[in-house]
Amino acid sequence: MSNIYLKPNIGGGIKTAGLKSTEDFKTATLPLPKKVVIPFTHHIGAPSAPVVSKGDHVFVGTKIASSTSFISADTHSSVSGTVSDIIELHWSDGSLRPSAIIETDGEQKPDPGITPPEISTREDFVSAVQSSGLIGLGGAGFPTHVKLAKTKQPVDTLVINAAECEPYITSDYRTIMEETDEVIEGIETVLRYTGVKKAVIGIENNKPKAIELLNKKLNGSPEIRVVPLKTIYPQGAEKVLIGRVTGRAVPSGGLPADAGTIVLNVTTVSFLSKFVKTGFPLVEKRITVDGSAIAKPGNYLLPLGYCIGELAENLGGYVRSPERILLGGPMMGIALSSEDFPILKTTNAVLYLSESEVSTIPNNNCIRCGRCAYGCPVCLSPVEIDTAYENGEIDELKTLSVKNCIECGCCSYNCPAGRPLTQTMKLAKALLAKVGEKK
Amino acid sequence: MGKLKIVFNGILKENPVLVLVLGTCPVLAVSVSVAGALGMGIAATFVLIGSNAVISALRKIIPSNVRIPCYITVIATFVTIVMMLIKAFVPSLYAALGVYLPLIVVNCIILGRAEMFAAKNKMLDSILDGIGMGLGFTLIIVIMASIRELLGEGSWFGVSIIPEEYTIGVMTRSPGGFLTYGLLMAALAAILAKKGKKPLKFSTSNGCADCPVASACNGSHECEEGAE
Amino acid sequence: MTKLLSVAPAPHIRSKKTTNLIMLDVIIALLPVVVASGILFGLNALVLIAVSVAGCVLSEYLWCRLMKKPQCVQDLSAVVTGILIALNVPASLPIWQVLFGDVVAIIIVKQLFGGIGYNFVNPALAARVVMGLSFPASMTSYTYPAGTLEGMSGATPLSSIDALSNATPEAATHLGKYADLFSLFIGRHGGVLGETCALAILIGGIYLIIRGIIKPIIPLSFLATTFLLHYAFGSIAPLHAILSGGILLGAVFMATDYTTSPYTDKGKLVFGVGCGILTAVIRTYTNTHEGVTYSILIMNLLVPYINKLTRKKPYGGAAK
Repeated sequence: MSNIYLKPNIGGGIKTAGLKSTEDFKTATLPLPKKVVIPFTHHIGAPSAPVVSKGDHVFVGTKIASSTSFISADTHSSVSGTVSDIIELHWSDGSLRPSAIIETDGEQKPDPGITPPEISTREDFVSAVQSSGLIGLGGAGFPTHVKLAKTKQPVDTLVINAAECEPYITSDYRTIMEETDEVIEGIETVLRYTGVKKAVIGIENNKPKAIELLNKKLNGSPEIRVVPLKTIYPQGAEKVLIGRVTGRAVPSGGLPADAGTIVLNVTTVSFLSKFVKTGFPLVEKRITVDGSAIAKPGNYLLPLGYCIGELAENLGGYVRSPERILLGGPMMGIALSSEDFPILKTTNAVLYLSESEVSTIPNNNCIRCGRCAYGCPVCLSPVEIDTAYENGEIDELKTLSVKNCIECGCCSYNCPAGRPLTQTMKLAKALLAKVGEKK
Repeated sequence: MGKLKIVFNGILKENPVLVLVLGTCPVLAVSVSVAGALGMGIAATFVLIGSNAVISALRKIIPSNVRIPCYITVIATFVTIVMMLIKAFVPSLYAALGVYLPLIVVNCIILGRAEMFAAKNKMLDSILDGIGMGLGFTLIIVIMASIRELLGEGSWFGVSIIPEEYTIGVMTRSPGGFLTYGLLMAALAAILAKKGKKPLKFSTSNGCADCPVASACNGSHECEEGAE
Repeated sequence: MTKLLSVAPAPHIRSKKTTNLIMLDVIIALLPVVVASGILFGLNALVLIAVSVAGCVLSEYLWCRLMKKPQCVQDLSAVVTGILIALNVPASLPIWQVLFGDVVAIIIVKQLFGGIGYNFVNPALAARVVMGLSFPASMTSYTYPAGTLEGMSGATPLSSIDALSNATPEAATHLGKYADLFSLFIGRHGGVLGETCALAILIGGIYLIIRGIIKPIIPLSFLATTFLLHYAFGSIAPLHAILSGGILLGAVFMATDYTTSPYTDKGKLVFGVGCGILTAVIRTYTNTHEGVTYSILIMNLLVPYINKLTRKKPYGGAAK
């Protein structure tokens, strides 16, 4: 049987310090915030339409926004209380997104209308997952039910992303250590309803205890296999992960299904197993808090919408002045300009970094060393893309396959001249999109 | 343009060597010694003035599709005159200039100005243009020769100034010629930029029609890109 | 609680290896060669190197001031160029001539084209060629370290190896003694400051490889190709060929310059092989002994094309 899939050529990646100092911190909880700010749209896809207005009373799990199309997701309240206002929240990309501010009443009453879903077919499964508000909990935010729907291409492998390649972040690791049974049940649930035959868990080998625990619980299962990966950033990037565990490449502009796979984050499957039993939608997240500026780093299970400032207060405050606050890891995370931003479904870490933990190198001339090209996991040439973008050479940018860039940050990390290459890649993509539109 | 302006145009703003970049071959070859440079400059100026005058006088008669051979015939006549004069009266210069003397016939400055100016303007203006361009050419080629002879051989106009151990050999060879040429072009561009004049973009009032490379360029306007 | 938070695009951490740290590693790698030249050629050599560095740094500093550009001497690339230029001249070269070379390398080859990262050929090699054309006598009057044979004015191992075939038995023994491998290795022969002590260059090269500054591809492919071709042509004994005439300095320090060499592994291989072919051909079929210099300069000019042809194929195929 000929192999219809492309061979993956994966470039160097980078070796960073793991900085996983919170790995052995068991997940804790924090006092409820006074208010939560929940944007109606956390996901990639069509924005959700709000179904609550000012003054409404909500319970934990009450739907506050409804998906408007297939590639969209519902959003639910993470606390019980009253909707005190609907505001436009300043997003990191400069846009304004409507969000609900909910004053907590401290009681955390679950919504009485929540019941376990009735699932007998794949279609039932997909619509049940859609109603749970589940989106990729690894940080990408793609509505999960879309991945679980039947595709034209044949799919034979479920890939579970447990790589967690970003420095500092240990929330997925804690999920594996503390919810191992749910993880495995979740995988089995997905396999059962989608009809996919086997599953592979890709996990970096800097988590030996997790690998051992999973293997023990799987007990030689023929369907689910654990594949340890070398600890190189970005093993957890979807295209790289698929290449490493299946030996297949996702074609340019394609989806994992084009490589015969479905990729789900390990925390996503753990949630799925709980959801299928209880019907309780996505309202809380396990977040790694780290950085030398905060008093109490660790892993915390927090309701969505917890504001960063209030979070810092409940975490014991600052022990030194934070230079930068990131949502996400240091390689791809977004720097916040104020503490008034909330935790989203896509957040898996809040990093309160002090000056010594943030690198700023002034931007100098490119010396054409090529370290960016060596580090690029998808084998692009940032050195040439940078020059082409500066000169506005549209055709050259097209030839250089800028659209394949996964924006992992390896090129910028490696650059000795401190050039903002990742940003240049994004700007080049935007330029090509603009030029494409004009046509 | 005013009459005096035509002359100064050729010296500075549309200097044939540094701005129009025409006639680079004799410039590079003959700018090794000041004596040769001066001789070449005077010879070329004489030919330029003469050919501009005659071509301008005949401009209404010469048919457009045979104009190049006609121009060359006229130019060759003047070059022959100059060659004979120099051979008779200054044989050392004749020897020094060698093959570059007859090559004045195809010197792009002369042919270029015939096409760009003399063919379209009155005789007096064409003569003034010839004077201006000739002066510009001579001026630059003498400046270049001064630099190259001084640094490369330590003399000026044959008079030894710097002892030989302190000469820089590369200046008398082609790399030195190109380096001097390039640096002079940059210097003039800097001066013109300071005075607020943008470097020439071949945008004379007639657009592409005046451009000596119009046929090769075919309207791709490469002259306008990055002409800073 | 209003603190000012700094906001910047991801990634928020960077590799510690900045441009000036890379240049510092190159300077450290050049120290064995500098020390060897001092031992072999005396104090004059060290003075020349120091003056050359000062000349380059000063030229770059003044240029940035005059052109009102941000100051760039702190990236230490001028220091590296200064050392390399000095290593390419004989110990007896007048100081003003080395300063001329400095100006050519820094101002003309590097700054006029856009500064670091924009030079189209190796600045030190370009300076060597210009100096060779400008001061032919002083650039070829090689001095000899103490303990080597006198009486061979102007000869370097390359020229004397060439002369071997026409030598009298007496001269041949002299030449044989002169051109033995060990002498070539530790530098007990005439030449420019940096090309004589192979041992020092190798130490520097190994340091650069261990520190991850250069990949061994270019030096190895360059040397191997030259070795094999000289064996095939039969013109110079292969082992002598790779130990003499500046090929080691060129292969380790000049051909590996980032800006003027390809950035992919395949490209580096093509570059190294090309340099090797050109060196062997120039040495065998022409009168000049500057084979390495010209071969590297010619390959430098081809680098943009080599880059285009040896690009990696993107994961998942090219974007449509």
